Amino acid sequence: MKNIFFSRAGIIIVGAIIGVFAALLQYFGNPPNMGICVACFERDIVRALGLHRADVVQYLRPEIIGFVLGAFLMAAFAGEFRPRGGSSPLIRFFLGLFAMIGALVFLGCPWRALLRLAGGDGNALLGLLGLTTGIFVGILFLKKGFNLGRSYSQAAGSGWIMPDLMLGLPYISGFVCTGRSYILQR
Amino acid sequence: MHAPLLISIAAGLIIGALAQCSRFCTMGAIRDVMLTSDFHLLGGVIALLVFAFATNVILGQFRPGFEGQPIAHSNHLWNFLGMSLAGLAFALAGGCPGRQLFLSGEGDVDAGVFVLGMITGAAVSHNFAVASSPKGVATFGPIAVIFGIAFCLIVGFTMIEKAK
Repeated sequence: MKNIFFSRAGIIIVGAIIGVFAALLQYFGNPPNMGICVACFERDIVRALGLHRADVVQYLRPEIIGFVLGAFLMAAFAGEFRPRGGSSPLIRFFLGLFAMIGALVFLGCPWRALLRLAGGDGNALLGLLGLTTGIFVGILFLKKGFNLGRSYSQAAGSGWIMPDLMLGLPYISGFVCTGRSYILQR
Repeated sequence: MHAPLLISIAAGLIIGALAQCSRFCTMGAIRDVMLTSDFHLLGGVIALLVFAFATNVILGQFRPGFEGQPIAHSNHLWNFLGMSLAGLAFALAGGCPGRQLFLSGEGDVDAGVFVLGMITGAAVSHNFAVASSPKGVATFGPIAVIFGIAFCLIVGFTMIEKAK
């Protein structure tokens, strides 16, 4: 099946939709220059689950749930849902942990760095410069043969866990009972 | 602060579906340009920036400057080094946080582990005075970033496959 999104026009349309949606989400009530921020929103989910006590927004951030489930549905529809894994999982866990630490020192993931710049925040330039520098160092490793190892096909059940977790998040925090997270209310 | 539930979930589902089938990735965009001079993904990233900017101007959300920006601080050194750590970690793991979420949706268990690592990192950051706030960098932010860069460099050097 030919994928129109592999074309130049396709990827530009996707980027444009993300940009417009992010600005609109801010307009409809998301935090300023944070229409979408994967790092910040995961952090808010962590707060909603009570895993830290910082005085920040505690909210299940349906955008994150939508991201995973939207990707799951599209992949299933396109025949691209392929459960796979086993490529240095523990290293990836800690890469994720430290990536989050770096993002929360800056206050945003790469998406929010772009959105902060689009909102006029000059500090985002330093973040984007840092992001590029970090990726450049990563490329030096890639060129030298850096590799986390190949992944292998896994049983379908493994691949369902993350989408299931996203489906389960609202239940975990009692969202179905009250229409919103009861942990949301202090 | 949050947008109405249905708007948020609809936007999330649409973006998740489109990003999955287009392989949208911010880290990948910068990597592809520097590694293989491939500007395909960068087109999407620039479109995101331009269209978010234009929408912000239309909605009156564009406020240029460095000081007093919302949920931001102006410590240039740690803004730079914090994102350097993040960029290096994304490059080694093969995707930005968004891409890791989309990959986890299409069955990539390793991307799912990365997401759980990020979630743990958020708890660590806020429990141990690592995460910044609009007031500035927190007590243990700098040391945690240095530790993280050291971890990524060790991973980088130890996971180089020798040519056979």
